[in-house]
Amino acid sequence: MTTPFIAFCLSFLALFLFYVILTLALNLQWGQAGILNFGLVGFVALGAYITAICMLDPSTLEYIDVGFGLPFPIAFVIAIIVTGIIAWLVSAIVRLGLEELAIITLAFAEVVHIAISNETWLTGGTTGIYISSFLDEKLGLLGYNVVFTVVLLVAALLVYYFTTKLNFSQFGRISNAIRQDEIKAKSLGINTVSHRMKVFVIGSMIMAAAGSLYAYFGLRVVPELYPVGLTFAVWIALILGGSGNNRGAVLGIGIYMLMDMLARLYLDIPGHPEIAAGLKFVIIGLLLVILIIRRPEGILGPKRSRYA
Amino acid sequence: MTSQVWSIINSFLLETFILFILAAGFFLVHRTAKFLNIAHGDYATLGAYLVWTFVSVLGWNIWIAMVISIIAMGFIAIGIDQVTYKYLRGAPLALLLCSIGVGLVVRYGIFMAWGARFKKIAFALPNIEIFGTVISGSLILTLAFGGFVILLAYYLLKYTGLGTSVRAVADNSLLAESFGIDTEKTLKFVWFLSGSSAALGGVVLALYRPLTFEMGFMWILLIIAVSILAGTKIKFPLLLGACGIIAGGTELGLFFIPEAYRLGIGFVILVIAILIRRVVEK
Amino acid sequence: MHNKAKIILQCENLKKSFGATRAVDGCSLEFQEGTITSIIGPNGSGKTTLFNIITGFTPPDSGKVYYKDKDITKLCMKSKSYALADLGIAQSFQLARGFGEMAILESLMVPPTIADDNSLFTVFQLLLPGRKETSRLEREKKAREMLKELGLEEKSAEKLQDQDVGTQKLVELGQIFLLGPSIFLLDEPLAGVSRDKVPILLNHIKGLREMGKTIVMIEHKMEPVLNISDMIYVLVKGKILVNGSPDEIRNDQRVKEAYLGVSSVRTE
Repeated sequence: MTTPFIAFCLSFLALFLFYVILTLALNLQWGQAGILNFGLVGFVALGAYITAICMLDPSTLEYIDVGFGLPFPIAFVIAIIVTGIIAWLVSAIVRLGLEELAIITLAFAEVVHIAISNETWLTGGTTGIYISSFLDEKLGLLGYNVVFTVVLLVAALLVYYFTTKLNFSQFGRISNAIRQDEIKAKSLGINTVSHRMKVFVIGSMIMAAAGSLYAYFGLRVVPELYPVGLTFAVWIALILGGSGNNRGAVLGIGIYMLMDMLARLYLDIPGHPEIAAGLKFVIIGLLLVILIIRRPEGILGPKRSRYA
Repeated sequence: MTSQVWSIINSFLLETFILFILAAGFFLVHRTAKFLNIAHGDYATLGAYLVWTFVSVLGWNIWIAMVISIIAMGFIAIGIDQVTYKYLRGAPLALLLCSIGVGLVVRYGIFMAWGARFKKIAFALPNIEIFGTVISGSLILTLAFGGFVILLAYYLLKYTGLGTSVRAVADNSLLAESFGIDTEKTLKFVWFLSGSSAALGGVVLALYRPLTFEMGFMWILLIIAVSILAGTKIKFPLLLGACGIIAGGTELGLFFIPEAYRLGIGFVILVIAILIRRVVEK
Repeated sequence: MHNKAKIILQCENLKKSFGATRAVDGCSLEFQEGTITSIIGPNGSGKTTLFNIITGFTPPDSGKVYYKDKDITKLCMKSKSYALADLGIAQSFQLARGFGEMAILESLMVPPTIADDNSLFTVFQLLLPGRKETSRLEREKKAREMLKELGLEEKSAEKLQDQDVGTQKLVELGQIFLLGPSIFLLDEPLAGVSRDKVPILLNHIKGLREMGKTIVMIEHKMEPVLNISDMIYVLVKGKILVNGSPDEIRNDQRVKEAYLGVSSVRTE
């Protein structure tokens, strides 16, 4: 049990928790309110980059013109609020049909990706921004990873608690009602568009928070960390575990990452790196297909309410 | 014609027709089976890689390779449908998610089989010169293929029995069934056309870029956009028009916005078009 | 009519076409407070479309709607159904709509009340530990009372989608009631309901009238219509053929003609 190995395990755990938070946020939008959001990674990236830009001291990097040199907690809050505002503007689209929602959110994430890759004066382009964290200087490898993981664990628990409580509250009841029958909900005096906009914003702010935390502890933001594939990975995890289900979401991520790890460890055929990388996704794809066909509700089944 | 103007027209025509050929099969499936087949771009990629294999590994003539690949992809598309989508008929969301899975399998299957390094299909076409402007052979071939697709679509839909069934199923599949139309057979036909046109699209892409495992997938966003833009009926001219709007709008936008945001411009056009359509429909 | 009760809802010359079809072709109706009005007519005569206009699910092409002496036409034009429900106009649907996956008790807890505050600020307050939702117990109590009223107590934990049509329609009635509306627009409340449940529903509807609520029903079952209505409108091909008391309608020759040869009148 060497230190680097423990540190590696911890960072893996941290990644797991990061994904859990994202899945919980997506479950809030999809499982509770039936909002199809394929732009998840865009909001994560926004949270991460806004944090990085806020924290950056512009004099340290010559190719970036903007930076505010703020400490992390303030940057974190700003990132969440600004992303919330952007999400609010985008959320007007919830009144559109599922297909249109899917592609517009997908395109949104793409545009964010393009922007962060190109606006070098703001985001450092493809080089990205390095975040200097005082924790990094103070703690050793192991200590740093412990703090990283603990903070993410606390965050994940908070998000889990919050989204579950929301689900069983009147707010969540309305979300579920809108998902099941929007016309009926409207006839009962519920402003369905406004409600779904709120859900969209809340979910996006959680995604931004996750992005912000992970960027801070990961010490850098770079476009390649936020590919479209991340959105689909979370979606797959949500379905693997049973959409609409918070516990299922956690299970789904677990399965997804387990397979990722197994693929990395056992499928490494020397001389053919493609096999490992490719096979992992092929298996995930197959799993998704099989699951959708056999059990659309996923592994754990549909959510049970406290009243049923 | 000044070379700058020609270069813009060239880009516009290219983008429109490449997008059209790629989107045609997707559009057909979207209108009949009523879902967004995210794997469509990957079908195109597979078609291109098959041609590469036939030409570079088996040494076949390129044109024969293309024909075989196109036919093969048609059957592969049917096969995939029989194994997966068939069980999800009428559930658009499940189909969408399933197609994400299928796309992953095809895309990374290609990655595993053919590796990550770029491949190039040796495809030299003669250029033509008219009034001092050089028109590349690739452009002519692309336009020819595009024209072929739209004429074929027109002929099939209007003058053949299967084509009529396709239109009926697109309109209302339950009603079509009650009239005795074999929807399963019709869908098989649709998938054959979809797969083969995807392969054609892949081949066209290969004229201009080296092959990568993601080459088709990269287009899926635009493909979905034009298909949604093209309205609710099966009208291929509308699809071509939608491609033209996106391509034209993008070319226009590129005067003001850097090249990197090409996709973003297309997206803005899509949003505006959707909003306009909503207002008009009221 | 002896005493002219207040007119709570009034439609003036409403028109709505779908393409070439004139679904509603210049209808003017008025509904008196505290009465049961039935709208009858052959299939396809525009009854449901009329309802949908009033409740904001289908914008009219022209015409006006007045509710409690206020002109609400703009709300109908903009399809603001939730705002209309808020004002007190409630609707039930031909094919019972509800939140199928929810337990019956929970689906009765959905209708919003004035005390509701779903602003983002309140939502974030849920983060604070120990913060119980103050209104939930109240809401649950009301829902249980309604269940008792409807005679469905034992089914409180069952899902709505597993119920028979009669129960579903009862629940729907309960849901609407909890909204506290002044006027109930019921689209075929008895359709698909088993024989034994029909009287239960009818009793509840009559009970609503006793409470001073206004009911407007679309129905095909003629006997209940003739028995409990105060006023009947007959709609044929988007136009009002005639209106009057049950006795007047029962004996009206034009009504008999309109029904004969178009669709059979179910007199059960």
